[in-house]
Amino acid sequence: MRTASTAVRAAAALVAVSLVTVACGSKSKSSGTTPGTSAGAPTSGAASAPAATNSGKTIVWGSTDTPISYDPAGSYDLPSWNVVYNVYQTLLRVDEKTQKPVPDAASGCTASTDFKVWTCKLKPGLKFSNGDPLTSADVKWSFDRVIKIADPNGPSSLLGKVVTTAPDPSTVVFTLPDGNSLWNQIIGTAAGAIVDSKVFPADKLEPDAQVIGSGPYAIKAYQTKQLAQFIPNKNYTGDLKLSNGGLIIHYYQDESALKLDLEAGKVDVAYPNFTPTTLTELKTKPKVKEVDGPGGAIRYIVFNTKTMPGDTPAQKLAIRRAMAFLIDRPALAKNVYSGTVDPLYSMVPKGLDGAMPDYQTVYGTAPDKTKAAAELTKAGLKAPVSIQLWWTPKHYGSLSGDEYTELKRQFEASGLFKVNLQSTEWDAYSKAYATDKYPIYELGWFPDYPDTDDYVGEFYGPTPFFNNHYVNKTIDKLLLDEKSSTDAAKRTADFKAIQDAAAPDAPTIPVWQGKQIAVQYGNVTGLSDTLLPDYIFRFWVLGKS
Amino acid sequence: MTVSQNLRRSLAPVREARGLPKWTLWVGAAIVAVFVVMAVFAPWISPYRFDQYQTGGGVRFPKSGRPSGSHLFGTNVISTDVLSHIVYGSRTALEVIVLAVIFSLLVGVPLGLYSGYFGGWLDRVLVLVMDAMFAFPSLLLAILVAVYMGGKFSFLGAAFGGVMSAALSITVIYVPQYFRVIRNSVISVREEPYVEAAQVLGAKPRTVIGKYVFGNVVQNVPVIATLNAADALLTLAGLGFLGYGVQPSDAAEWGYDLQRSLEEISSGVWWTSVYPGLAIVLLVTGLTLVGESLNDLVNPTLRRRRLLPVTIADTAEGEDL
Amino acid sequence: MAKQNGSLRGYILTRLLLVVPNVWILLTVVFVLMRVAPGDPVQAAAGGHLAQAQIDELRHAGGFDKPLLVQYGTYIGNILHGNLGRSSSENRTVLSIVTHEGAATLELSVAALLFALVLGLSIGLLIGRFRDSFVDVGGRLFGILTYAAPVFYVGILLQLLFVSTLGWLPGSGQADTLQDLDLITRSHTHIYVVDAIINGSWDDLRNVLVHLILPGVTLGLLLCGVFIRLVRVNIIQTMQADYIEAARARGIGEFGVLIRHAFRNALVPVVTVVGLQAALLLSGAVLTETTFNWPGIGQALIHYLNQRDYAAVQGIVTVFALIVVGISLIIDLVNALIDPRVRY
Repeated sequence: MRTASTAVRAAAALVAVSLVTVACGSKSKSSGTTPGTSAGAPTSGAASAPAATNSGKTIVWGSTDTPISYDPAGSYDLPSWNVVYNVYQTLLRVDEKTQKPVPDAASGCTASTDFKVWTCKLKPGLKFSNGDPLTSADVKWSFDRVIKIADPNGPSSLLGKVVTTAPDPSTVVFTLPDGNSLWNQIIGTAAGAIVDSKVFPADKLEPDAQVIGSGPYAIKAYQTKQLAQFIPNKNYTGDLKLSNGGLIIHYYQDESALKLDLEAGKVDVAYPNFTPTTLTELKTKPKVKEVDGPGGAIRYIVFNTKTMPGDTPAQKLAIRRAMAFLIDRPALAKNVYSGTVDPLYSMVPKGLDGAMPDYQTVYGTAPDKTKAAAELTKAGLKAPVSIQLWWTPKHYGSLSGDEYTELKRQFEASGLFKVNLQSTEWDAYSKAYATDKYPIYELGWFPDYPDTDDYVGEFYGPTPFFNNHYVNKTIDKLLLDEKSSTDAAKRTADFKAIQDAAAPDAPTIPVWQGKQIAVQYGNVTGLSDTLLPDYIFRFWVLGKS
Repeated sequence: MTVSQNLRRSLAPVREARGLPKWTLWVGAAIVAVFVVMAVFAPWISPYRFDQYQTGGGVRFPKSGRPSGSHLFGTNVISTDVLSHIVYGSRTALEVIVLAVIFSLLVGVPLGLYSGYFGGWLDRVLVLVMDAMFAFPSLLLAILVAVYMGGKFSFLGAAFGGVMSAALSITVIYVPQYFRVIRNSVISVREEPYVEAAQVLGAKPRTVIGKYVFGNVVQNVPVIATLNAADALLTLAGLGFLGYGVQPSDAAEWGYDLQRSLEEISSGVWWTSVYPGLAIVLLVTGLTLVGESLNDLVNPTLRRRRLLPVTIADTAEGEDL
Repeated sequence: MAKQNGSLRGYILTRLLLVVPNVWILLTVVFVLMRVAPGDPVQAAAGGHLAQAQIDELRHAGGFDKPLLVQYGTYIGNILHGNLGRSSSENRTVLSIVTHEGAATLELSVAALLFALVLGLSIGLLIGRFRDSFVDVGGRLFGILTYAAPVFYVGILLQLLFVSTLGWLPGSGQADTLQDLDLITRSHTHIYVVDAIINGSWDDLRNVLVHLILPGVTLGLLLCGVFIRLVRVNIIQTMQADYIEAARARGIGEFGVLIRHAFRNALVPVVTVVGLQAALLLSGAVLTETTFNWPGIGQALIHYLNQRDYAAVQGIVTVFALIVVGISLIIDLVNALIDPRVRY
């Protein structure tokens, strides 16, 4: 997943936390939702509520995150996908209540036993907002062009090497060379948004202001980084009910302007994310309300076990453990983030399957100077130990500087460490940490899909993406076990064991876990219904009275 | 004639100054002196360290606290003392300014001397490249260099490394200016009878440049240097404001403080922006007053009647950001 | 006479020919500067998430690892074809950035220039006339202050006063949401003031003008200082000129001398300098637009720079460099026609 301007990584939204494993657990031939279930009775909803008849009010949504593109082939970031999910249909979509895939453009999808061939049947009578009929040829066109264009900002890596065919106008067949039990989740992401083959070129992006989809909304006006206007799509045949008569997104470049407009009622909803100072201030204003949802973004400190200080592995371990004893996460969350983030005691954030607060168990919540000092003495290290701690401005948000200033204060307050803070811009930083240039450094993570494997699988194992040379045979074995299994209970046990094995070694120190925070003005309804683990911003649930 | 003699000669008008220029010179010098004293004696003058966030007893300073008895100028969003940031900020500012001016002199002056004295194809190429750099929006130039420099000087320690890369980013802007000014005055000095006489007498180019040309050209340097110092401070603040300057964990920097204050001004927090900004304005004003008065004294073009276009060009160059 | 015409023609020809190496070197400097900066959009987007090997694969797929000379050739070739390129962080062309964001910056710049000219000329005139007096000191101090106060500081002070405290004026943006939407939907030139007038929508026009005041004044004050000094210097010089003495001797009143003779002559270099201030204007615009959330090209530049979207930055800077070359060409040619001393 790509970042937009700041730390907010976009959600790939491969759906509900633990449900993913459950869905694939059964070896049945059909996965996702089988045709004919009550959720998949589409036509009744479409006939009764053409979106155009909805006379709701227009909602103004203010955002400081600007999108990369409204063309699904050119976007893999949260602000873009927020729009894509509302303008286009996907074959399956994520149900807001169950967080499971339910029919959208398709009436259902089935998989072969090896998950290599997936067949989807389209609903009848689908139309794009310009009146063009939607057939399986459009679906093939959409998937093919994402892969062909392979835009650096696009989601082609998510689709991989899939081959799409359209044997008849209402049938789409996907052939996956490697097989993928999560494919029904992937086609529900914005990467699988269906575009009009008569409008979108096969080999390049369509201008954002002219995109055409078959989703509940159609784009009416757009000026990059400024404004976008969406109106109900008259030709929408799906079963979603619109609670508003349209939506305007106002993209702000800085949050103080957004804050003023929100206070003045010129903006109904602001999302995402204000700085803590602004949030605290906004809470005191009349008619302004904060709405929180779960979030999977985390921040952590990485030790390069090769280049970090310490002459022997034992000394290195002692330094890592001593720092883990000294960090004061609640103070950091309070002083720097005013409580808008939660302390994180595992590399797997709270709310995910098998998350264990192991760092709390091993090292406690409050800083423990005595134990930290004991670690250093035992390894024959003399206090203060000098360490170089790297962080990067801007990429992880404007508060990174404050965060690391605070961490330096915490480590130095013990008298056991002398911290030399160093910073570089992101381009140089992201290369340097991966090539052993930095001994100890800040990183952040946002999952492609909210499954525990997307955390532990990336951080541990023989080749963690940040290349910190930490080796633990026990963890490697557990990871293999977890990846080859579809048994939810067994995977959960593996995830727990992995965390238990890593915490005493502290190859990384988890610091905090973010939340989704939106702010609304006046009587906006439905906001809490869309701040969900899937990170899909659903325009249609928002209403205003 | 030695360099010191030259300098003494070029400073003679300062001693002879009368009236308004003298007055503005001393006011400017006094302002600058105050900041120099703050910078040098920061640990003794400042109530707290710039990164101090709690009292000796471990009581944390308030976050964005109003000005009070214990914090005369209030505290900012990271719970540090605004007044201390101003005192330590002058240290950062002066370090960057001095380094930037020295670096630009070291590069710009020799290039200008060479280019002006010898001419030739190298001169042409240099002029074209310098002109191109001059036409480039300077702040952008500085930002690009700052991005490039990022982390390159970490071996100097975080605090000084940050100052160093900021100084070098700023240097890039001023090299073309020194080059231009020096080259132009070398060209005019080169035609003077005594230089020609020395050449005819068989003096080596090195001797001629060192003894005769340099001495006559160098008297422009204090003027440009002071004016550029003022400008360098503004550029440093601009870089800091856009987040490309000295990083907050390394040192106190006024431009960065102003950027951080932006999020608070709509909440009525004025002390985190008004005071650091005032520090910038005062120091730049001080430096400009000194530079302008020196210009009036050393280079009394306004008293002689010179050709109009020359004055325009000089003025425009001196002021270009 | 004939010889003089010949030399004028020669000068103009030489000057026109010089544009070619001028532009070429400028483009090369732009290219080199964009390439010395580390990183590229792929690194910026995928770093911190993918392993370095995967990032390198993506970079290869996007053609970001081609040899520098090939990239340089493509760049120059595209410029020659009038192709400024595409943004690599957004789905749009550089041309659309220049026409949309550029229009907003143009609007801001014109407002700032008008403000600066009116204020700068009158103050400069006044203090030039009363040289070394109390008025002169005050005026010069004002000039120095406008120069010494960073643009964003002035912006912050104005926001504190007029937005936070008094609540009289909007402190950000180019228009309120609804007016903005109306102007985007019915757009002709992308310059809001002009569009509002064309549409005959006075509500839009009022809204746009109100939003223009604070940013315009802020950027205007920056330019104002330059004008004050220039006018002062030139007034002082022209007031000493022989023809002014002559005018005085003829019994023309002091005010008449000032306006009809001195001011008119002092104005010529000012107009020249207005052109030369283009570079200052852009640096100032970057900071003003950032402070006031003004959706112009300066803010876009910082945005794309933060995104490491060097394609967009390069395109914008190229356009800007071409404008600078164009302006200096025009100034030189006009000066050559007016003032024979300029010709070699």
